[in-house]
Amino acid sequence: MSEPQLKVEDLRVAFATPRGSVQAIDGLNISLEQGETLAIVGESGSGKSVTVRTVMNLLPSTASIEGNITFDGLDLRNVPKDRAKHLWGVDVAMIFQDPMTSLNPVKRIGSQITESMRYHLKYSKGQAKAKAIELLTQVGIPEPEKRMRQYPHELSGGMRQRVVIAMALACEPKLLIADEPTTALDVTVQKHILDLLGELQRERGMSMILITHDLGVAGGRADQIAVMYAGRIMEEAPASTIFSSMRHPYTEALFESIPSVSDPSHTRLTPIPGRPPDLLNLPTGCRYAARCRYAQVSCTEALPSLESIGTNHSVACYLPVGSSAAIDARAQNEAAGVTAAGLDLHSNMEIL
Amino acid sequence: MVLALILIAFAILAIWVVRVAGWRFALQRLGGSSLIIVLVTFATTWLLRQVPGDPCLTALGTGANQEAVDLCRLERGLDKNVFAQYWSWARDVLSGDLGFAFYKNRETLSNVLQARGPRSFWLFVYGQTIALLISVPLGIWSAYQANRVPRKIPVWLLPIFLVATLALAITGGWTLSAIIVLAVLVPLAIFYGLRGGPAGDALVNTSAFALLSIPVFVIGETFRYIFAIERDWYDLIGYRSWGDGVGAHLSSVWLPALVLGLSVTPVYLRLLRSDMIQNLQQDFVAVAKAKGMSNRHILFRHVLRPSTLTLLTVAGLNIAQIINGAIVVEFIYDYDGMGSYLIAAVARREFFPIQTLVALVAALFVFANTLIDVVYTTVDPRVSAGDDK
Repeated sequence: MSEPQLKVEDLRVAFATPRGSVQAIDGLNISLEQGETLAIVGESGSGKSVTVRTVMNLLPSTASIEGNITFDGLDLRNVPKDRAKHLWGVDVAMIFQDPMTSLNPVKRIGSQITESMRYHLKYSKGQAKAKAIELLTQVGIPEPEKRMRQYPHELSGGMRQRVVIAMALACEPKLLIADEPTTALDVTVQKHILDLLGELQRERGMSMILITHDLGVAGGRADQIAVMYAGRIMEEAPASTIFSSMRHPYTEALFESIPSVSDPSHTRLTPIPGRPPDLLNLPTGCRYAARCRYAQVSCTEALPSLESIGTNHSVACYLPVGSSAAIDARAQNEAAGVTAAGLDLHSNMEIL
Repeated sequence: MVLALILIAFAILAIWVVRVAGWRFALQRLGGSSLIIVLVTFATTWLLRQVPGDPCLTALGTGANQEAVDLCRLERGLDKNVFAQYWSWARDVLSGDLGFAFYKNRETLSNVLQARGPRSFWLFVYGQTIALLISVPLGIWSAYQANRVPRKIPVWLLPIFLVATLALAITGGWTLSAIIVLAVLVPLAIFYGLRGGPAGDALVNTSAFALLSIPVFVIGETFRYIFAIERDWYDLIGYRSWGDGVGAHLSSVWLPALVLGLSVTPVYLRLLRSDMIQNLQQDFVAVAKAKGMSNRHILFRHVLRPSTLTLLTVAGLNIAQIINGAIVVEFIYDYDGMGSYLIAAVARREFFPIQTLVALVAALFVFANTLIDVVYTTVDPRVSAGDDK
């Protein structure tokens, strides 16, 4: 197999803060084939956004970054200056979470879409305008000529996100990163935007990284799903595999917390007890041990690494769900009422 | 000539206001402004009558006999009540008679405006221009540097520096030590500041703060001493008009204009800087970076425009501040503009010219701020003046 299009190896990102160093990403590996979609799933603060911002070279200068990022054979951490000028925004583009703030309120839609084509591809005004109108039509905006002269506040949230997508596609990127593109939108609009993204991706043969905290969103749209927790990947598998045979206790807990439509009304949700670890002061063992029903002493002693357990399926756990060791561990914890990491299994769950 | 041009400029601006914001807005503002001007001038009229002193007495001299003073007061209508006086003054002004001074040769305010108006006008224009020319680029630079990585200053310098200071203080006394410390520290700070980063921002910001805390008359007197008395860079021979040549004109106003400009620079600079810093944190800046736009493009095309709103507001309100400053500066530089005329007029209790001048300043202030309300709409499309759209 040829080299993957995007390869992130052993990425570590830390931010210096007055209270100490915050380890946002801790030994992360990603690889993405041309034309594929990778979904990164995780709760807030798990490092999803930091990962893609590192790839986009958008981190503030206070961040210290270690590890390798290769895109199309190019070392992204060390790009020659003249190449760097026309790389981000051209070959790799990104869509942000909130369309309400992603657009400059005092610039016309038209100039915001055309500026990158004018700057990177040296298009003439007329060329850029024609291309922008074409893009707006593709992302499903009616009356594109009229929209070009409007300001962002004259459009609805869904329309704005379409404009943001058109903006990102302006220079025909090979890789599109979508950082929670639908979180700020209504549910009905969410579906439209996700369908649109999928369609555009297929037409253009782009690769895509889709960041979301919604497993349902990831399931239908991604080829590969990576579950992140506290700066590390816990489990990575093809979408179908992860739904049918997830192996990490965290993934399992995530699935259990999804309410089912068939449940009667007012069924209590099943939360994951506790809260994510403090990134200023990470535990020595598994990052999830403190909230895990299976946790044993070994889990709190050393960090499990991400091991391959099947085709494209890897998991970072000593006691993968379904293994006999895991079943024993859980039974033992249930009997004791408390896990080796000190999680009380019988008290009312702490909901935060 | 210049006055005619100013009037034409005002007319064009007024037409623009009507075109952008509509008749309704223009008429509303005109109504509001008229009310403000009436209130301000009436307050001035009333206050002037409460202040001890009498224009007739000043004009005729303290030795004048009572009949002459009474006659003078009768002729000027000063024996009537405040309302009657205000009414007759307002009628005169509206019919084009701006009033005259009692003192000496009864110089009319129209003549004074013709002779001195342009001087103050140019002083004001140049002062404001200088302030913007300094504050806008520096404000942008400063805001940009504030977000960059700090350059590392070697840590071992600090203990060495402390020990050296202490050693100096013990051997040579505190005064010498302080002088040497300052002589080392200040250039060092400037050196680090000029290399950019947060130190550069701090340098600009601290300098602006220092400048802000120095009163205009101190800057004015200091510069006069340095540039006009110690060196020959500025002639204190007074204003020369455009007719005397551009060089002569500019060399006759540059120093007072610079002082006036410097007095408002730090206000503009700090406002622009803080707005820029705030806007640089906005999502659309990250989006523009993700689009691969250059830093310069982002600063000038994305961040500058939305960052000028506060600056505009304050520039409008600051007109009063600048007029105050101009009066002080004109006084220091013996610059025969409207400011020094106003000081003399107040000293002699020239009631009617003062009232007219106050009315003019109020009108200018209100007009400029109306104009800025309309400029908002072109800077930020989300704002609309009037309701015709």
